[in-house]
Amino acid sequence: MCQKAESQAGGSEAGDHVSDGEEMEYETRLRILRSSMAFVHQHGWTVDTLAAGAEVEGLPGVAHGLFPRGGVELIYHFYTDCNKQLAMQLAERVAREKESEQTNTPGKSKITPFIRDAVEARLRMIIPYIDRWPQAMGILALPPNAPQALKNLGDLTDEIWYYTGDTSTDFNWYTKRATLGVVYKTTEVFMMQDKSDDYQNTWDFLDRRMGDITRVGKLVRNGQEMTSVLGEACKGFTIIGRNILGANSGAK
Amino acid sequence: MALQVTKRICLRCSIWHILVRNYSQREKAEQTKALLDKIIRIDHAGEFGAKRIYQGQLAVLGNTPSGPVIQQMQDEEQKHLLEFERLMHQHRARPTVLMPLWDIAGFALGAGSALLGKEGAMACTVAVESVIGEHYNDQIRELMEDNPEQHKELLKTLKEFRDDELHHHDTGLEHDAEKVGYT
Repeated sequence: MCQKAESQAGGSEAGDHVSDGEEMEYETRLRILRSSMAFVHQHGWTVDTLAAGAEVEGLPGVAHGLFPRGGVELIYHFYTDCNKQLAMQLAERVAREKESEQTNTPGKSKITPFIRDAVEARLRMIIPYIDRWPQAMGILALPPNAPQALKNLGDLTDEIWYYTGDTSTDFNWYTKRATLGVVYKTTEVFMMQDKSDDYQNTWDFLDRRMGDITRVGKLVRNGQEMTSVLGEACKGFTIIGRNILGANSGAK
Repeated sequence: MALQVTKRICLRCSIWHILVRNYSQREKAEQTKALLDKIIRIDHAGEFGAKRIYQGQLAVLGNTPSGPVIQQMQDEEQKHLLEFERLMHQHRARPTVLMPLWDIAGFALGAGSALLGKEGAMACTVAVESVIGEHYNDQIRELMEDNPEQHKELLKTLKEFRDDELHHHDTGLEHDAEKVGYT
């Protein structure tokens, strides 16, 4: 009976059909999340905020049941929303820089300021909610929430590195994002207790952390050079050994 | 009016939703992206590992008559690797976390099998390439199931690479892989 009704409702092919039920739920959740942001100052990142947001949307307060994990879903929404905004801003900046400059390859000196500005832009998005952000950070640190929070941080660092034009395809992909994640996190924590004018101390802190990365990067490169030199030395010793044992007598 | 009623009936009929996979466009796009991400990551790791295996074999057998054969196969794997890197940039896929492991393990496998002689190296090649061939076939099936039209380019690439790998497999057989163990 349902099959006939479904086909009357306008034809369905598995995989192509927009599921009305699921899309409706997704859109309702999105509406509630967006409306709840206005109540964060009042109730924090809790179920009460979601209930208030639901009521603004004309839904009963218990619609917060759409969010089984509670207030943390509002934090995820805010986080991913900010990430998307940052991605748009970075895309615009990259497009502008491409138009204005002659050469296409960014010198290494351009990457550090770009990343620094991206982190600053992203942290500034928290400022409207900074009174409640320490609570959010605490909630994100809880074990059930931590994996998703880590993933969000990973997405954030990936966005920033992608727009610097990063083309690494080996383990550097991970080290780059991990170091940027550490910089972002520490600066975020610093910002929570910063009372200076326009958070100037935070941006100075950020500059110092970016300096750290550059120093560590040089160290790693030196280490790699050292490893390759040691590798060559080992090969040399192996050849000496084989010569001594007479194993090279047949080869060139 | 009838449309609303039928739609509402279907929303309540959860059995229907279980029986038929009705994914929304957004979810479908996310699934496809995850599938592409996985395929590109795994294939990139595979080609990288294959290249390291050949490099390991060349380290031992580079100066023997089978050196040029292995060198040619390595060059083709390098070509594949570059293509997957290009695809990785195109689709913003991430590389595998285990890259350092494949780096070392691949070289060790190549060098180890080459120390058993030319037959050992060829036997290793045959084994690896046959597994890779099956693996490419599985991926081609997955992509066909998902959306053959959308993935036309990638399917063409995978088919071409699968044929290359099977060619390596046959090359290995030609060069006495099956004689391994006979002194």
